[in-house]
Amino acid sequence: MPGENQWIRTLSHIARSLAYDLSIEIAPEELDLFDEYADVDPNKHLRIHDDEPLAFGISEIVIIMTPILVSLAKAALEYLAVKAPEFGYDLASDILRERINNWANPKRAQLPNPTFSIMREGLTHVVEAEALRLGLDNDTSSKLAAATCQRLGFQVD
Amino acid sequence: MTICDSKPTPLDPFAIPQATTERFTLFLLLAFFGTIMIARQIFDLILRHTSFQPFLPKDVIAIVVFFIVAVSISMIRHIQLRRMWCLQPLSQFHDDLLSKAVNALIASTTNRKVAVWVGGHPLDQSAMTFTLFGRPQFMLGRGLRMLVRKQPKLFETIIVHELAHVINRDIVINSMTFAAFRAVVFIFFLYFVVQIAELFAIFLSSELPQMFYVPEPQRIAWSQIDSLARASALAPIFVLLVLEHRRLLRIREHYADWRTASLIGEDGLAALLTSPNSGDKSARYRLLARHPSAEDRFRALKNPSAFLRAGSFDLAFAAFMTALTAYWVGHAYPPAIRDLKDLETVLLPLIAFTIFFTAYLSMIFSGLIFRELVVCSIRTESEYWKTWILGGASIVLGVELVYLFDEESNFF
Repeated sequence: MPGENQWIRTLSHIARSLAYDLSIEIAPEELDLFDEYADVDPNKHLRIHDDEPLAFGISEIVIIMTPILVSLAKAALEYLAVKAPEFGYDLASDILRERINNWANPKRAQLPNPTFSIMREGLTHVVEAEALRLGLDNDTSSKLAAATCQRLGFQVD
Repeated sequence: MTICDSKPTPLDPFAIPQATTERFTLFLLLAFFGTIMIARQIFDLILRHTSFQPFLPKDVIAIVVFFIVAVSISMIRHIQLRRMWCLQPLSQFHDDLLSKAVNALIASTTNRKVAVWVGGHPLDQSAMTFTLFGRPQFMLGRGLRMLVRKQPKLFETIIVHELAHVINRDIVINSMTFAAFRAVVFIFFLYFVVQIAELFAIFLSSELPQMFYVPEPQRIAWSQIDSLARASALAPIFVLLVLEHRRLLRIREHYADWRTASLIGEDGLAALLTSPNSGDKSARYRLLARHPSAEDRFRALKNPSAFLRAGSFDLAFAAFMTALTAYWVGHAYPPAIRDLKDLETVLLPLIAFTIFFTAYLSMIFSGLIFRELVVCSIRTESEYWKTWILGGASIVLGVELVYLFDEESNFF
C-alpha cells in the first residue's frame, strides 16, 4: 500500500519518542545508551538461558528496559491506531454530550467518559500482555502499563 | 583490594579429586601418552598397506602432530570466537564509563596487562577470559555496558571473577587442557577413520568374492573387524577423558569463585549466583557443562571444605585415571626404548616423572581412603601429616602384600 512505509517510520519515530519519555521515568540510567538499545530486538528475552552469568553466552543479569519500552510503546500506538476509527465516533459524541449536559446543568457532578475508560482498559491490557510476553513479572507489567497510559494522556483515576 | 600474589589459594592439599594441579598434570600426561599410543597404531596401519617410509621416528612424528594439532586447533578456535562474537577492542567503543571501570579493576587487582574485547549481543551481560600467546584476553558482552550503569557492584563481581582466573593461572591451564583435549579428539577421530577406511578397502578389493570361500581373506577381514572393535573399546576411555576435561574446567570455576570472594566479599557473587536466570540445571548439564551450576557454585562458596571433601566416586574416578595413565605410559615405554634409541632422551625424563607422579598420586589416594576411614575430616594442620603417614604406610603395606604372594620374590 502506498505510504505504508512512511506510516511505519512515523509510528517507529513516535514510539521511540514515547519510549524515551518512559525511560526518563522507569530507567534513567539507560538514557546514556538509549539510541543504541532502542533498535535491539527485545524478543531475546524469550530465549532460554542456557548459560550462567559468569560464563560467556546468553545471560541477562539485570533486565535492560530500553528495548522493552520501545516494544511496549509500539504495541500501544498500534492499538490506538487500529481502535481510533472504531472509538472515534463514540468518543466524540460522549464528549459533546458531556459538554451539553454541563452547559445545561453547571452544578452537575463530572462523570468519567465511558468510551475513554474502555480505551484505557484496552490499552492497559495490550501493554501488560506485551510486557508479560517479553518476560517481565506482573507488578512490573502493571507499572509499565500505567506509565504508558499516563504518557499517552489516559490518566488513571 | 590490593595487588595479589600469583599463587592460587590452597584449600585442602589432600583433596586430590578437587585439587586441579594434580588433575591437570594427570590429564595432560594421559592425553600425551594416549596420543602417542594411538598414533603408533595409526602408523602401523598405514605402513601395513603402503611402502611409505617415515623420514623421522614414528613417535617423534606423533609428538609433532600432537603439538601442531593442539596449537592449530586452538588458534582456529580463537579466530572463530572473534568472528562469532564480532569482538572489537574496548577503546573502539568510546565508552568512558566502561573503560574506566574495567581498567581501574584490572589495575587494582593484578599487575598483568590484559587485553579487553567487547562483543556479542547487546543484551549479553557475561564475560569470558582466554589467552593468546600468554597474554590474558577478556571478552566482555556488550550488555555489560548497561550493567556497569545499572548495577556497578554486580559488574565489579563479574570482572573480578575473570581477573581471578588470571591470578589463578587458569587461562594457561585451561588453554593447555583444551589444546590437549582437542589433539586427543583429533587423534581418536583419525584412528577411527583409518580403521574404517581399511575395512572398506578390504571389502571393496578384489578379495571380496573370495572372502566367504577362501579362509585367508576371511581371516584378514575378521582381523580388521577385530581391530575396529578394539578401536571401539577406546570409546569409554574417550568418554572418561571428556568427563574429566569438563570436571577440570568446572573446578577451576570454584577456585575462581573463592578468589573473587576473598577479593571483594561474598555478597556480590552470591547475588549473581542467585539471580533469576541462574535456575536449576539438568543432570546432563551438570555432567558435561564447562561451568558448574549456580546451585553448586553457591554451595561451594558457602561451604568450601565440605564441597572439597573427596567423595567415593571422585576418588575411584581419579584413581582409575591414574591407573590408566600408568598403563599407557607402560604401553609407550618399551617400544620407545626398543625401537627409538634417539628418543630416549626426550621421553625418558617424562616417563620417569610420570612414574613418580602416579606413585605420588597413589599414595595420596591411599592416604585419603585411610583418612576417610580413620580421621574422617581435617580440621587442623597436623592432620595433614596423619594423611601423609597413612598414605605412605598403606603403600608400604601394599608393596609387602604384593611380594608376599609373589613366590619368585626374595623381598623378605
